Amino acid sequence: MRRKGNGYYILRALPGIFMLLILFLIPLSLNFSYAFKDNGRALIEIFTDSYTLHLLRFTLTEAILSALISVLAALPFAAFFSAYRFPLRRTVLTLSGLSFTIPTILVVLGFVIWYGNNGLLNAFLMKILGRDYSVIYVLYSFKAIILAHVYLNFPIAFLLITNAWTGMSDSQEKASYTLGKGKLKTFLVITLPRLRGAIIAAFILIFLYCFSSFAIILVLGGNPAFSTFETEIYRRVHVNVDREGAAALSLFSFFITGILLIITSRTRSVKKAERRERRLKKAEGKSLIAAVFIILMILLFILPPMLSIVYRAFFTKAGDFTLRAWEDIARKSTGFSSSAILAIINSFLIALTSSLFAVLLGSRIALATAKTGSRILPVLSSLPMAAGSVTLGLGFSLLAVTVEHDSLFFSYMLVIASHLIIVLPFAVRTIIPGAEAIPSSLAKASYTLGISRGKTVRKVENPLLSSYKRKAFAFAFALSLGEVNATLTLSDGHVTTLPILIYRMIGSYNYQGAAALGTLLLLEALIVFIIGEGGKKHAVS
Amino acid sequence: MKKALILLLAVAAIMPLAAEGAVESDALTVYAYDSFASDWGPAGTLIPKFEEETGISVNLVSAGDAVEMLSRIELEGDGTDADVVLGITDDFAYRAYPYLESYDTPVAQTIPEELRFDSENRLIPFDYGAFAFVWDSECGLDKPESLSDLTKPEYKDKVILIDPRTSSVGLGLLLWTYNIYGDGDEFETWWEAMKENALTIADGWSSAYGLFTEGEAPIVLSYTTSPVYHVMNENTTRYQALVFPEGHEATIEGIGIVKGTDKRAEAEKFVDFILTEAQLDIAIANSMYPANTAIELPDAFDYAPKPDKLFRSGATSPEKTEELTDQWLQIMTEN
Repeated sequence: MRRKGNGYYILRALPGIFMLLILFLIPLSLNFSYAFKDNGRALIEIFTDSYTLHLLRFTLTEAILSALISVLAALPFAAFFSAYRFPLRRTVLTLSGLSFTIPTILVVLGFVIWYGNNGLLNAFLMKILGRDYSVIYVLYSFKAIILAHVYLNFPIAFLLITNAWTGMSDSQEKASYTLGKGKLKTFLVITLPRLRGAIIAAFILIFLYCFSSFAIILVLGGNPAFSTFETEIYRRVHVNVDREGAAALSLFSFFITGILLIITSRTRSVKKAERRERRLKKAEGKSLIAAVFIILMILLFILPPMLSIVYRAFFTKAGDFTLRAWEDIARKSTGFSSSAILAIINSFLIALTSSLFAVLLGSRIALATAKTGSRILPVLSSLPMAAGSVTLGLGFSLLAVTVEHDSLFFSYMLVIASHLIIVLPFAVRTIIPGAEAIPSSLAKASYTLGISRGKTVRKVENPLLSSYKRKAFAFAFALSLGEVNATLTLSDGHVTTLPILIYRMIGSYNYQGAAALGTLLLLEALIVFIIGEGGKKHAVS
Repeated sequence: MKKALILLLAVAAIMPLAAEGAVESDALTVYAYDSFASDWGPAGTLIPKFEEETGISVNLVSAGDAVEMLSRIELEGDGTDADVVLGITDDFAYRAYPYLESYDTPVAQTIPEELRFDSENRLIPFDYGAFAFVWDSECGLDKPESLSDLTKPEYKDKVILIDPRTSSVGLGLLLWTYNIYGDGDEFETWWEAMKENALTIADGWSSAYGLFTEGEAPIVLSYTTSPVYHVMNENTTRYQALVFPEGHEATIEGIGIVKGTDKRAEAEKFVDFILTEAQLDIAIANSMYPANTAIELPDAFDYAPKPDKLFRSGATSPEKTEELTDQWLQIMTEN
């Protein structure tokens, strides 16, 4: 697969690769240094403790199940969205990315307000059915964990697969129909293999996300038997003050996710040169009715928990309208309003900077990956994701106690760097399918015309990546906007972002205030999504 | 090109913020937990007041939660910038002692004897709270009158507990039950019954209390002072703290002067300030009782009943705590 002249692409990707390595290796090596203290005593303990096996079994079960269900559920919707165009299509795609930005604690609250035994859905059903007891009991069980994970991750699968699907030309499917093959057979034989890359990418993303899930498992699961690595690591850091044990455990979990990553990277999708993206049919008649139905289904799944947060910002538990939370935010005397405004600005700037860098560096890595057919690059760029919030978070907190600093500027830089390393893998993963879809013949044709490599990238290849880049930007932005742990540990609490302020509000009993700030957070994410998506009206997704 | 421009703008926008970060070297450096040090925590008004009254400038460092702050002190050792640490709880005090100096302040006379957990006065209590179950008095159930009442079948799925592995409040309950039931079977029986009665076991106090205020269950593990917020801000006495005759687990927060400080005089002034003028503000902001008994609290604190009998969390050894946590996990996960 290696073609001559790929050195140029590698060269372009170098800054990104360099950043990845530096930002990833620092926290990781700190972890190592702790785990191997006293001749690896902590590591040996981890491997000989049967509880580790229990943790592993549960963590794998919930992560695989969550990822599988999210992807399977996303497929039919993605199929429809990549076949037809209809009103609100883009709006739904935009909205579905939003659930990503909500800090976990608000997801938990949104779920409780909506799905809770005493929640809005139950109140509504009780009224309709004329019963005086709760109708559905979904929370505080294993079901609830999966439901919440699917809620958070279905949109990722949906967006990634729709993106890849609409980017594929449908000429092969058409050929298959002409040959008299049925729809199902065509899907299984032609479409599915071509979607494999996107499906695997989505699956891994979700798997890794759920692998380090924490608050959702604990609160919505309602049973300490549901413990993941993250719970145990948290306990070792905060309660037992066993940093060595925590580091050893985090290395072990990183080892497992790393292996999975390497295995799946071997089954990369077959690249197909495609010149044209598919043309979407206009939904009419029956398909328009189907469109309405499908939109309703997605919206009814995605919106209620989010709207519950907005609702709670304006209404008390008893259902009385109040603006108290907003008055708290707007009141000048408390010093809180300045914190709120500063937090909004901080969140925006940090997310903007880190996601712009992520797209800039990520698209170069993605292009180099596609050009060289490299297997190492995608694994490398996914490593921080495999390490997940577990290893990275611990690494960052070890970093925070090792590096002494007083400068606020340095705090900001640390936070932006940590956000960058968290969002960069997502950006690379999102852009790679786009880069692989660019036919190599295009570049060759360009060179034949005497156009330089740099100009070919700028004028030919980059424009083809733009829709993927926008998607990556929106993802990265959303992720950074909702990030809490790294920000808190690395900035000594000096850098206040919106989600951090939300946690602090909740810490002082003020749920309504937290919901109001949550509303602002959603609004901020929504605006960026609309800007990110709205770049080109005629873009396919 | 457009992107580069935006990047530049973004960086330029952050720059002025950085300028504020410069630290004056002659300032008194105080490590405090985040909720104290944030702009709208008690520090927002107290620190300027102290600076104005004494002319001593304060460099307040927000050092994470209480445990993270402690870790930081340990890691930095002699090289630490801190002159004063604020907010170390009695259960972790033993770890802080090697890094602190005694300070026998005359102001501490107003602090009752039972709160003084350190006989050498390296850590001086400035506020305290007691863990308690808070209940929704409008839920239609009978009011639980004791800790053992909670195990009755009528409270099935009515109680929200907190995981002792991840939360100090959760750990508080674990030690509380140990202090009451001791090493016998009673401890295990109580928890086995509560396993049935718990609707869920939350990861931290925040999510537990959130579930409670959303009405998911009428009883939650919290503090005796929790109703104060509802009285002051929502004007309702619906949520009440349950005081049990068996006694309650207390958590006491202390302030101390760091060993080898070159600002001993300033540090002493700061400690005295926290133990006197700052008491009311801190009590209200933290929803805790002030250690200084001379402080008059707002009426809302009438709804924060003080238990007659208090156990100190610091009295249980770290080894015992770990053993209890393991035992707890065993009970809660076995079928």
